[in-house]
Formats: sequence, C-alpha cells, structure tokens
Amino acid sequence: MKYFTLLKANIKSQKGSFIGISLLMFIITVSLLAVLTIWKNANDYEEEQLLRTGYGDITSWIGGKDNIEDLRGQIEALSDVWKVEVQDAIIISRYYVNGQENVTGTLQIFAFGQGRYDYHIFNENLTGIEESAEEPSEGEVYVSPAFCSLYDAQAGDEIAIQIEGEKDRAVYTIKGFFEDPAAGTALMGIKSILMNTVDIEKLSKRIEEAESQAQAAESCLLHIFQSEQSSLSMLEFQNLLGEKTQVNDYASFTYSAQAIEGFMLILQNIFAGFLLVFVVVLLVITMVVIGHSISSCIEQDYVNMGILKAVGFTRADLKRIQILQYVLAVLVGMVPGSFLSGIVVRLINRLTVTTTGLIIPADGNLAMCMAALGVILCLLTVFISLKTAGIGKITPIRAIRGGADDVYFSSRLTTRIYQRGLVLHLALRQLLSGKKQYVSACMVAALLVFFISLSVRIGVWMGPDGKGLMNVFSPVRFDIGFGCEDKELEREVDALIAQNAQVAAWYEFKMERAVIGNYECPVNIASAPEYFNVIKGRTCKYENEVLVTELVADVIGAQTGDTVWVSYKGKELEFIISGIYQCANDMGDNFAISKEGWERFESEPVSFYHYYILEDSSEVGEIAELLNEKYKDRIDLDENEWSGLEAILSAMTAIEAFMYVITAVFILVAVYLTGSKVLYKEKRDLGIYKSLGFTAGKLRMSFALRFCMMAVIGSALGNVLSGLFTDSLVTAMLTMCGVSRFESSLSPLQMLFSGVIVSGLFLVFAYLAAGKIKKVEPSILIVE
Amino acid sequence: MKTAVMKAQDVCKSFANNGGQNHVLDMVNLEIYDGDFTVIMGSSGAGKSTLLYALSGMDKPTSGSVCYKEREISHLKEQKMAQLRAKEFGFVFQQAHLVSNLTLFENVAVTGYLTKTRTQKEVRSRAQELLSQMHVEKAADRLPSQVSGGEAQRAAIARAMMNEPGMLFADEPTGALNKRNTQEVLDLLTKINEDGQNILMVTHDIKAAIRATRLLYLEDGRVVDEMSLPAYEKEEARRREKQVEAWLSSMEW
Repeated sequence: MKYFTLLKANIKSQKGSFIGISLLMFIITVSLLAVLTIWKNANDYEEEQLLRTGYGDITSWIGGKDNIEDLRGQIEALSDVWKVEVQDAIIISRYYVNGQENVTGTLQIFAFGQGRYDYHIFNENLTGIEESAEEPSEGEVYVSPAFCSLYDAQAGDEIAIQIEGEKDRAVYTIKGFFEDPAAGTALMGIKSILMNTVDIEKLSKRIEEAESQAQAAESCLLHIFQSEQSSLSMLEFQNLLGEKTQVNDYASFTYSAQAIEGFMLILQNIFAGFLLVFVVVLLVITMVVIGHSISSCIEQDYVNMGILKAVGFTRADLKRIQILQYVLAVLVGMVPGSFLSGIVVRLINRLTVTTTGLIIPADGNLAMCMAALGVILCLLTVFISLKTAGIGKITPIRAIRGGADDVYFSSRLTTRIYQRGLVLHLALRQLLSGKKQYVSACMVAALLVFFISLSVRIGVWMGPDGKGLMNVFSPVRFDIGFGCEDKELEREVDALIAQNAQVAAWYEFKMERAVIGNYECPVNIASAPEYFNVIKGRTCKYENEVLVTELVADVIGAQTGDTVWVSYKGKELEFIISGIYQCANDMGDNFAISKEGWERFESEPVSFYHYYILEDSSEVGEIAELLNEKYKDRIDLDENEWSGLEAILSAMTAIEAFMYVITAVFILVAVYLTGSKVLYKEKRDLGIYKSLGFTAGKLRMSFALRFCMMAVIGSALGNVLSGLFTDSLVTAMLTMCGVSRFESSLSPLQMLFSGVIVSGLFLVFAYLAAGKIKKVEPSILIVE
Repeated sequence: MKTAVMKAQDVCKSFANNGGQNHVLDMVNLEIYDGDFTVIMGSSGAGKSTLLYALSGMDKPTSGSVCYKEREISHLKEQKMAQLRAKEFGFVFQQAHLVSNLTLFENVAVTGYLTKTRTQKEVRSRAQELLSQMHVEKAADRLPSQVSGGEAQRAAIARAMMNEPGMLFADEPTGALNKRNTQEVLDLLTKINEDGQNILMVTHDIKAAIRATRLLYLEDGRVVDEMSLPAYEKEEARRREKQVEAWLSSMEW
C-alpha cells in the first residue's frame, strides 16, 4: 500500500513524463511488432504456399518437353531425390495488357486446377481468398494482383499474347486474381497466369503450328524434392543435380525454394531490416529520454525523497517506486501498441497486396511478439535501475538543507554577452552553463539525423528515378539497348541511334546460363568488360578470365586468382577469376565473362544485344520513342527499366514519410520532456528576466535557440556517424539481395538537409514547449 | 507642492482561498511623490509586498487602477509592461535574485542591453561605474554563487539602477542580510535617493524605515496613516528611530 500511494502521487505529479514515455513506447511497439509480424508471417506463408502449390525443393524451368521423361528418370535415380513432378507450362515472351506491352519479363501459363497445383483465388476486393474457386471459362484467365500495380489492370481487362508469325494476337479477359507464390510479386519480371484447359490446348496447337517458338513455346517445370534421408545442404543438392544429371543442359533456370522465397520477399526483407534498425534507433532515443527524465525527477524530488528517507523509507524502497513508475509507463505504451500493431499489419498487408501478390496473414505470432517485448522490457528495467542509482546519494539532512539546487561555477568554456543578438547570447550562456541538461537533446538529434541521413544516402544512391538501384541490378552500365536477330536491321538501328544521340560508348551484351565450379547460374557476357562493376581485383580482360560476385565466390569456394571450370552445353573450359564484381541480378547469383572468353564456347556468330551509353542520358526517352515508332515488334528494346522499380520507389517514399512523422513525434516528446524539466528548474531565472523587462517571446526564443543549437551539434555528429557507418550498415542489409558493396556520398547541401529538418523541428517544438513561460510571472520572486 | 509620479485608486487584490476570497488589499488609494524615499510598513500579512507588486505592475490588481506618470499601467499588455519594467522601473528583492549563470557585471549590463537606449560601450561603462558605486567592482566577474549576500544585493541595486529608472521598487532589500551588509545597502539607497532617485520600499525593519522621507502604514489591506520625515542624516538616526518607533507604537505595531 505504501508503494501504491507514492506511486500514484509520483505519476500524478509527473504525468507529462509518464504520458511522453508511454507515447514513445507505444510508437516503438507498434512499429516493432508490425515489422516483425509482417516479416515472419510473409516468410512462413510464402514457404507454406510454395509447398502447397507443388513447388519442389528445387524447381527447374525447362524449355520444351522433349526428353523430359528421360531427364526425370535420371533425376529420380539419385538416392538423394525423393520424387520429381512435372508441371506443364507455356512460356510467352511478348504479351500486352490493355494494349500496353510488357517491358521486362515473360509470361508463364498454367492450366487452372491441375490436381495438386491448386491456387488461391482472391475475392473481388483482394482482401481474402474465395472458398471455392471457379474455373475460368474459355477466353478468361486469372492473373497476379501485381498486374494491378504494374498495368493498372482490373477484372474484365484484356491480355493479348503474340505468337510468332501470327497476325492476330490471342486475346483473353482477366476473370480475377490468383495468388502466385513463385512469381506473384510486382518486383519479378516473370509472371504467371491461369487458363482454362481447353484454351491451353488451343494455344499449344497454335504454338505448334507457328513458324518459330521464339515468342511462345511449350515448356514445363520440374519440381524436384530432396529425400528425407539426404544429408546434403540445398547448395550441395543443387550441385549434385548439375553434376549427375543433364538438368543444367535443359533448364532455362533452376532455383531452390529458398531462392524463390528470397525473390518474392526481397522488398519485405530489405524494408523490414531497414525499419528494424530505425526501431533500434528509436529505442535508444527512448532510453536517452528516460535517462534524462529520471535524473531530472530525482533532482526535482530531492527534498521529498530526503523526507521519505527521514521517515523510514529505504533506498531500495525509493528505487523500487521509481522503477515501478517508469516500467508502468513503458507497459502503458506497450499494451495498446501491441493491439494497434495487429490493425497496422492488416492495413499494410492490404495496401501491399498488389505489390507482393500475396495475402499475408495478419495474425500476430504471440511467442515472437512476447519475446521481443520481453527483451525490451528487461533491457529498460535494467537501464532504469542503473539510472536510479542516484537515489542512494540522497541524505535526509542534505534534502532538508534545500536539496540539490544547481550552483554554477566559473567555467573555462564561456562566451561574452553582447547587446546585438542578446537573446542568442543568453541562450548560448544558458546552454554552456547547463550542458548536462541538453546532452539528451543533442543525442536525440544525433541519432535522428544519423537515421534520416542514412535514408537520404539510400535515396541519393537510388536516384529519383531509381537509376542507382537499376545499376546495381544491371551487370553493366548502359542507358538503352536493343536486340534483334536480323543483322541488316541491327545495322540500321545502330545507325539511327548514332544519328539521333551523342553516343559515349556502345558494346555487345547477352545473358546465358552456364555452370561455374559445378554451380549453375546466369552468366553475363559483354564485349566491353570494362563496364562491369568490379569491386575487387580487375575486370576479365583476357579470354581465359571470369568475374564472379561475392555470393558465387562463396558458393564455389574460390577467390581472385583461383582457377575454375566453366561448362556450357557440355563443353568444359578452365578460367581464372580475375576479380569480384557486383551485380544483384538473381540476388547476386551470377558471374561475368568477356565476349572473347565466351567465344571459346560459341565460335559460331550469335546474336548479342547492343548496349549504348549516351553522353546525355536524358535523351533515352526520345530515342526509345523513335525506335518504338520505327521498329515496334521487330526489335527488343531494353530501356534499363524494371517493372518492380516503381513499387520499390513508392515503398521507399512511404517509409520516408513514416520516418519523418515518427521523427517529428519523437522530437516533440523529447523536447517536451527535457524542456519541461529545464523550465521547472529555471522558473526563478525566468521570473528575474521578466522583472527586468524581457518579454515572454524573447525568453521563449532564447529557450528554443538552446535546443536548436544542441540539435545543430547533434546533427553534425549524426552526419559524421552516418558518413562512418551507413555504407557498412546498408551493405550488411543489402547483402541478402546480392548487393555486396554500397557506397554512398552526400553533397554538403544534402548533408544540411537532415540537420536543418531536425534542428528546425527542435526549434519549433522547443518554442511551443516554452509556452509555459507566458505563465511565469515576476511575482514568483515575492517572499511574503 | 510635490508632484505625484504614481497614483493608486481603489486598488483591491483578492486571492481564492479554500473556495472563499481572501482580500489582501482593500480599496487602497495613495500617491507616490517625485523625489521621495517612500517606505511602506505594516504588520505581517498586512499586504505590504502585495501592494508593492500591484503598484509596480509585477502583479495585476483585482480591481482599481494604478497610474504611473499619468499613464494607467495596471492593465497593460505584456509587451508594453515589459517595456515599462525595462525602461522605467527598477526592482530590488529580498533575495538578490541575480541570474545564476551570469556574472555580477553581466547581470547589470544585460538590463542595459535590453533597452538599447545606450550603445554596448556605454552600457558596459555604466555597469562598471554602478558596480564601483556599489563597491562591488572587484567581484564584477564572479558568479552570484561566488559572492556574499551583501555583494549580491548591492549588485542587484546596481542592476536596478542601470536604466536610470523613474521608480525603484525595493521589497525588504535587507531582509536576508547581516548587520554590516544591511547598513551598506541602506546607505546606498539613501545616497541614490539624495541624487534624485524615487524609491518605494517595503520593510518591517525600523532601521531601514528611518531612511524614508515618507512612511505609509498599511493595516488589513488599507493605508491607515502616514508620516513625513526630513532627509536622512546619520547624526539624526537615533532620534529618527525613536520618532518612527513612537509612530509605529501608535499604530499598535
């Protein structure tokens, strides 16, 4: 009861701190639980859906169906394989949605309801799954909700498929949307659609009769399941398949279930990592605020605590009350935060369904959430316990003598007071006299600027149109490129580009799949290897050299200078690794080789894309328009675009907006809590200033300037921290999607940006928090 | 005929007290004359300090009006009031109430900087001069926590004098000082009054009260009597003390 009475009194007298800390914890809890729940649910759900829709531990996309039973037999003969399932598909490279041509990827068509390949069909407003899915009628298809974000498609819209040599396209109507766990995200170029079996048969017949299968072809997916007895890791299993069977010769590409999960959830995983770092920063800020609040409250309650000690309360009793008070504030924030996080998760999942293509469950993982909150609670309890150690120093006699009033001593660090800018000089003096009180403001500013600066660096690296990000995913640097089979036409297009744009450089490029050190992955081939983004060693100048990404180097266990075997279509040759390069394509799962090197495999002339680097890259749009106008359907145009880029840029914008709002709230609470304690301590001085003729406006400005000055110092510190740690921190986050080096830089103006925002917010909020100065009357100096 | 620099008409001040009203000042009417060293006396709780703060604009009266140099000041807006305090009024409190992180010199100078009626150089030179007059020039660069109560109070008087105020208000300026410091502070106040400074002081100390040229007695929130005295002379102190004592006795003080 004695605790309860004091606890109640303390909370009542410090309700501002109590509410502030609860608010901070509320925000942290909502953000943390929402991020963790989305991340965990998305990964679990994706894994579950891949399994449910028939995807194997390894899935190979096979071009054509010839010899498929032989291949299946070879694979099934391996003791590490449990079973192999074949799923028929049709691959389309040119299709149109509402007349708009797809830019980057291919379309794979599956038959609806092929036994175990049982897909989820979304309800009309994409908020749930239909209990009984209706088979599309003839002429109807189901598509991924990603079509909504990519092409603004709706049910009833049209998808047209081009078959080589046919004048009329095959046209289908979108009946609805289905959940595709393997390629449903807007970030992947490949897209699936589900079709009626009669339509599939008709389409197969048209393809069979077509003059070429270049734009539409029969294919199949091999779902390979590892046996339970197999002790091989997934990588070893994949390598074994490459070594002992001909799967690599037939497969257009092969991915493990984990790799597909990685592709599907790349955005969620990156942003979850980013937001988790932000939550950690917010937690540190909250600790700074709590620390300051405890120290100030002990100072404020010095006399009361001394009296309580005099009447028999022990140091442990007083500490316990303080700990209880702050832990209670933390819990008061955590409990509603936990409930709200469920709503936030539901909302985010609903808003992102057209990007992820998945209807991720919103149910919270109780054990994970409790564990996360438990860790935070324990951490804060220990911290509060350490910060309340000062209570031990309080003695009844010292308290009775007037407590721990501030006594200023001459400091070497002092400034002169001048008539001009008097308010500023007074603010500076106050700041230098009470440095300790403002350290928390400085730390809060430093941490927030660090994080804002980090996101600004990422934004600058990505560029306003996402070009920076595209460059990381592109194996080579280019502005525009095209590909065509007809050599005559190729020369004509080259000439047209040269006539209409200032070409800085051009080269030939193509992508194939090959095996390096028993590991099958894409290979990037360029006639100008100097345009590969080499981060270690040097580029593959000579014909017996290759470049590998850090991921591939790890997988094959080789480094620069090592010798590796590369095989393509049964021909195996020795190469030296000349360096490590960066290309996040296939999450960094690729290697590179020069055109001369590749000619050791393919001596016959083969078709390459022509890639151009323009003197002025703003000309790209114009050139693309010109080429589209003149050679539409005759060439493949590559504008260095990616269908998922827009989704990433909008997600980044949304996250930035969220971050700025949260930053503002944190500054508001931190300033209010710190400011109210400072105001309380300076009440007497404020009364004196008012009696001398200072207006409340002048005093408020002087007060706000102190916080602003500390924020400026903090901002400088935050920028330094960001300069020191952003690259390594972001590289660590992006490694999972194949970016092994992140290098950022900011112009002085960009550096100023985050500092100005944070310092400005400190100034404004401190000015508002100092509104209480209006109520301070000189009459407080009266001693009756 | 003396000129009135300050006039109070029907000034009342009440405070809420346990649901009721506590009337501290009850229809006070008075005039403060130019050149006077006016002292307000009265028993504890008579409302002396409340009257001082109502007259000086530190606190607003509940009703009634206060005029300074013919200008109604009791209901001035914050900005105007602040200007008046900076340019026309000086305050000396029971405690020195110096800004704790400014040196004595800065405490004095900052008041001069605020009004901008002098250049920075002039302000600094006047602050130095005032501190010398108050005999605290040696402590000018020290913080309030590093000087004695007397030194701090003398610096507070210097601060109050910085802008040559029309009226210097002093609320028990020697209440927290020892005998020697009290004497010094009173001598200073007497001197500046002789130099023409209007002073309105609240005190319950007879030794301070005898410095006055005019004494007002307050009882239950009303001015009930007053007494005029000639200018203070040290040799006459004992006699003045007896005279004031007798007057106060007649007030049942």
